[in-house]
Amino acid sequence: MPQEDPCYSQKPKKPVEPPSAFTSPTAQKMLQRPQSGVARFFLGSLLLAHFGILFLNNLAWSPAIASVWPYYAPYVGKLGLAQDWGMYRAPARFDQRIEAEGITPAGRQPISHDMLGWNSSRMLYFIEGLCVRNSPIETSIYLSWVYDQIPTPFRPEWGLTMRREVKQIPEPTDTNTRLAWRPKEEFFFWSEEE
Amino acid sequence: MTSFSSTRWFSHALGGIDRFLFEPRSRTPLRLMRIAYGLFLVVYFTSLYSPAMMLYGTDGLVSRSGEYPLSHVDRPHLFHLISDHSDHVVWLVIGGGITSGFWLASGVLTRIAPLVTWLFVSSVVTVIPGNSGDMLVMCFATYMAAAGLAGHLNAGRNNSPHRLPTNPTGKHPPKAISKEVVGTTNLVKSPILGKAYRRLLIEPFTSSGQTIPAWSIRLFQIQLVYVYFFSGYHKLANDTWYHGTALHYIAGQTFWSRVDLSQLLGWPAVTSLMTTTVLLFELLAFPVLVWVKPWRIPILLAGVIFHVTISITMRVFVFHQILILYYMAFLLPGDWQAIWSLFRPLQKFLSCSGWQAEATRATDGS
Repeated sequence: MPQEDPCYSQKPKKPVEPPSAFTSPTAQKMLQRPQSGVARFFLGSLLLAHFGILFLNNLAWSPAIASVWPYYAPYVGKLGLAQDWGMYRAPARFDQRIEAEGITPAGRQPISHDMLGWNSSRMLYFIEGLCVRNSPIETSIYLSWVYDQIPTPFRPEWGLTMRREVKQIPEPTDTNTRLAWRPKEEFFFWSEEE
Repeated sequence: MTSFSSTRWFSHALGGIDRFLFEPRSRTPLRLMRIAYGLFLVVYFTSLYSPAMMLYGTDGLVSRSGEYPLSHVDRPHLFHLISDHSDHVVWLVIGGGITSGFWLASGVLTRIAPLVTWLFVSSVVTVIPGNSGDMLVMCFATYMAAAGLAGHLNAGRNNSPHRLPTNPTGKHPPKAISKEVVGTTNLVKSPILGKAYRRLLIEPFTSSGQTIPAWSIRLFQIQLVYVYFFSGYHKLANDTWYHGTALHYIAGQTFWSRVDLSQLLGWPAVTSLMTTTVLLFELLAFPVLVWVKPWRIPILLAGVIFHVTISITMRVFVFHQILILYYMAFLLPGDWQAIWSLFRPLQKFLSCSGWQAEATRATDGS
């Protein structure tokens, strides 16, 4: 008695079907490699155009790119193929820290990043963007949201402030210099009660 | 003579392009990329829940301000189509994204699943503030959708002369799925778990006999090469990269560091060497050597080490994880077999001496 392989299901055995028009090796070959003649030429052209568009989209902005951009922008935009690999392209020459403080009658109280929800890189990226854009209205809306997220017992009475401080990174040739933190931007949110 | 040469050159070039785009390739890399991307999306969408709720929830920033300044997106996205500014939309998008990830990984309806995935990915990428990594997630979804529409993602079970027999009637399984590779695990005895186990872990690694035109895998490969080359190209426009000081400043940014890299500030020669190495890797080494057979695996390994190191030391999200998924496009079925064999101890750990004992008892009549 042949030993059944337990790696396969134990369903009732079905007879092996003879190859049909769709399961024959020739049909499979056609299905898997349908690109022949005109279809193959068009698909190949489309793919080359795609690679060419991505190449153009990756180049730095220039008058030449500006002149052809309107023709391929819809393709890139609608399909979500935007190409922008700018991470660390121009590293900042300063370090930074962003802190939030609650404003109470007794003064300012630091608030932990966990309580603010600043515990993921994406959130840090978001709040850094807020500071860099330096839009008081946008930041105020965000701080109002943060204020509401703080549990009531810990919610500062008067409002919130968010501050970014920066510190120059010493030049590679001058590593002995110790530079100090200095304030860059500060945003306020005052609670309605106040 | 000149016209003959140029004609011949032209025809050679066309032949080369044709081979590059349409030569038969194994389905294995695409299948594994589909599974890996599906599972990646589960984690990705889960991590987006909090920012999505912050922006589009009932009490989120958009509903507070009416027109919260966000980046303009050309693509259709659900937050725009269903603009009721409520938690329900967030649940729909995040829940739908997670479900579509599982769906894509499962290999069911592989023509439709990538399209659904694309819709959900499109609804979050750049709609929720992100970085270049999110754009790569979006590009991945678009290429998956193209491959899915062309039927390159299916497991090839239906209508395939190479399909795996569900119940071999006295026939031995194909060589590629020998008992040694399949393993003899308890999981396969359970109908549901066994099916999932085979579909996710066995079939993608083993059905290398089925081929597809190369173009769908080329989409991912060319995209990855573009990412590296143009990252380096744009970096050269900045004097910190050109003069080899970029990594000195990056090491000094404690805000974006997971570990204290400020020790490197005292070693400008080291950071300078590292800066130049990164540039050469992006501009030259990866885009060229990844196509050279003997160098393919070493350069991919170097890239993995490069990205894992950055992931450990820097607070960069998504970018390095998704880039590793793009790397899978350069792996051939033989590479996967080799990777799979690395897990042999795990297979042995899972292996069911139980069924072997049962089988032995059955054959012995005991």
